[in-house]
Amino acid sequence: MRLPYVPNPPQFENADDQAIVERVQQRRGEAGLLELDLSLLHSPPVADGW
Amino acid sequence: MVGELCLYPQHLYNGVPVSISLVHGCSTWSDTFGLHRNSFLGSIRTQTTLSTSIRETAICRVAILNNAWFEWEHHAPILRACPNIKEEHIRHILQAPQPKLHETVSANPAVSSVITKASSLEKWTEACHEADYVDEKHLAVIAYTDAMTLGVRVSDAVFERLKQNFSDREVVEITATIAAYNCVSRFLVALDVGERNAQERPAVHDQYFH
Repeated sequence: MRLPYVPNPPQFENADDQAIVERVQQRRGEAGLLELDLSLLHSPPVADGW
Repeated sequence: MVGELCLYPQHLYNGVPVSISLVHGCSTWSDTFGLHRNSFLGSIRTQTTLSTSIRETAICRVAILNNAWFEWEHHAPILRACPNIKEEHIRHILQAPQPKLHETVSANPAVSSVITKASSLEKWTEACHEADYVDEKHLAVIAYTDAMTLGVRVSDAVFERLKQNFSDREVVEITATIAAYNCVSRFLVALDVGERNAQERPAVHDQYFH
């Protein structure tokens, strides 16, 4: 990636952002967050709509 | 709140009116599963009326055209798992030569029909043994994917071929799928997600590139 990935899993202070992380984790299941997710989660709302 | 918006029949998305052409492709559904069903990409993945093999054929072809190997690696296994898909179908998506830009973008119907009959893609398709294993519906989707992805403007001939094989709703859903996964592949390649750009070809099925 041309940017650093966010930490896996990222921890956001904002509750809405953290809820997005949990939704993405739920969607990925046991596979965990993909590199794609760790890229998109620089912008949680964008990751949420993906 | 994700999972609670319904596009149809209100013709609204997040309170914003959407065009009727988009509403064509919307489904009436209740959010039984509660997961990511209302986002644009979520709807493309799980809420269209398209068969899995049609949807994934379009997505996999976009991945090949855009050198988005990350996308290919995640979607080729879904296509391969379709009971109606033979390995030759996968090879065809990988190997079918790509039409040159001028072959995808004639606005002139007369020229378009000439192009259809004589296009290099058709010659390649006919000459390609793998194409024998791909039915007309899937071939029409591949031709449409090539035109949308490589040339943006789609010739009348390519569009008519699609229309002859699919309902208006399916045409909208196929178009949205190709557009959406062009977005996905461009994101993946621009940022080099997963560090796949150094690869010249997909990590799997290398043998098909001989």
